[in-house]
Amino acid sequence: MLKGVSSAWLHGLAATFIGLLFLAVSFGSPVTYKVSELAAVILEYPERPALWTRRLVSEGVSWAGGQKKLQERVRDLEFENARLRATLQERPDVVVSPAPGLVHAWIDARPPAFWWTEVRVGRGSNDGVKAGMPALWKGFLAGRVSRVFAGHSWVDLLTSTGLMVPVVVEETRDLGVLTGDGRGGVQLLYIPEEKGLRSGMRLSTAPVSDILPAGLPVGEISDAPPTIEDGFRVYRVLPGVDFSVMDSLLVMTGGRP
Amino acid sequence: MMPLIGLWYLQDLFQALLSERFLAPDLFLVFLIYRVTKNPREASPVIWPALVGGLFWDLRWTSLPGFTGAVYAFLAALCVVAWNHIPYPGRNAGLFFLLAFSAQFFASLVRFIFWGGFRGSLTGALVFQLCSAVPVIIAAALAVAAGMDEDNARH
Repeated sequence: MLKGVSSAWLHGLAATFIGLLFLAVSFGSPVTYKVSELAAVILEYPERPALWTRRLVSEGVSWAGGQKKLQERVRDLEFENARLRATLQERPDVVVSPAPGLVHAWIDARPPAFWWTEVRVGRGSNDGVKAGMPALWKGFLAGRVSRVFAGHSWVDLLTSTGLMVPVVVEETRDLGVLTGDGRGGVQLLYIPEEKGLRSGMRLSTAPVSDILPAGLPVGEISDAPPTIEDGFRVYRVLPGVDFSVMDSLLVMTGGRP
Repeated sequence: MMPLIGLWYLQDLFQALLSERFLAPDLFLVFLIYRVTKNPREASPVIWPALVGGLFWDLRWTSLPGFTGAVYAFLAALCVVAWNHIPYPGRNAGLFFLLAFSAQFFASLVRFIFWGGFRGSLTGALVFQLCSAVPVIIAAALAVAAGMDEDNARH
């Protein structure tokens, strides 16, 4: 064993010394660069499988990222399309074919005790309805789906005190929050006192909302003078929806959310 | 000879695959240490190929001819000495794993010190190298264990 060990030490030290000698002699030498270049050229062909694989993986990752962006874009466009159809579909002067992203639902129950709070519609998860989806009437936002069952759903109305919807004033881009008073009225909250909004200014859902898609028409500011609460003006809103006569809703199942 | 060239080429392929981001595990060095377990008394068929393989590696990847060669040769020699110092019953897959992983660790450490360990990207590359070497060393250790079993059965 000793002989083998001694031999290993000798060989090892000699080889290490030679390696270090190479390092010392070749360090910074132009010959080294030329030889390195030559090695790279010679190995270019045997290394091609690795280079192809690397490129394949890189392109695959890039393709997957592109697909994700493309899907997001398609979803945005789907939503945009559904929103436009919702706006146009119930306008009597425009003929628009029924859209796949909208589900027509009859209101089949409206409990008198919660008259201004919620309605029940005869469409549910079997029809693609999900909680959080906006419900429209004649192109205007009427409320939001709150609870979903197989064959029916409940929709919180804008007149409910429990539903708060971020909205934007289209003419001034001021942001506020819409909520009901529980008695059939709708108010616009959190408009700073120094902002003077005029009656007739249009409101639509705001991009800041993580609940409802942006751009859904809601209504307009009424001509009733605003009140001031804690430094903010509170405006009465004329909703686009006639909550007294509506007998059906369009649930927006296409696009987001 | 052919297995040595094959392992060097495999390591080269890995490096080409991981180039610019990570360092390939030292498959060539691990294979040399594996050879030590087969013929413990033969030092020269392990140490000199280590120098030559390291030298070619430097020409291809580091542009510091002799650096990896010296490191490989020194570590291979240490492994030969260590393996021969351990009595026969102690020469098992566990010892091989310890030697091979230590060799990989020191090879990484020397690079880390020599190339400037302050670079964050280098730290990541070397950690990747160590982590990726572990499965290779385990596989080689299993091969060593299988070889030991065969030897014992033969005796």
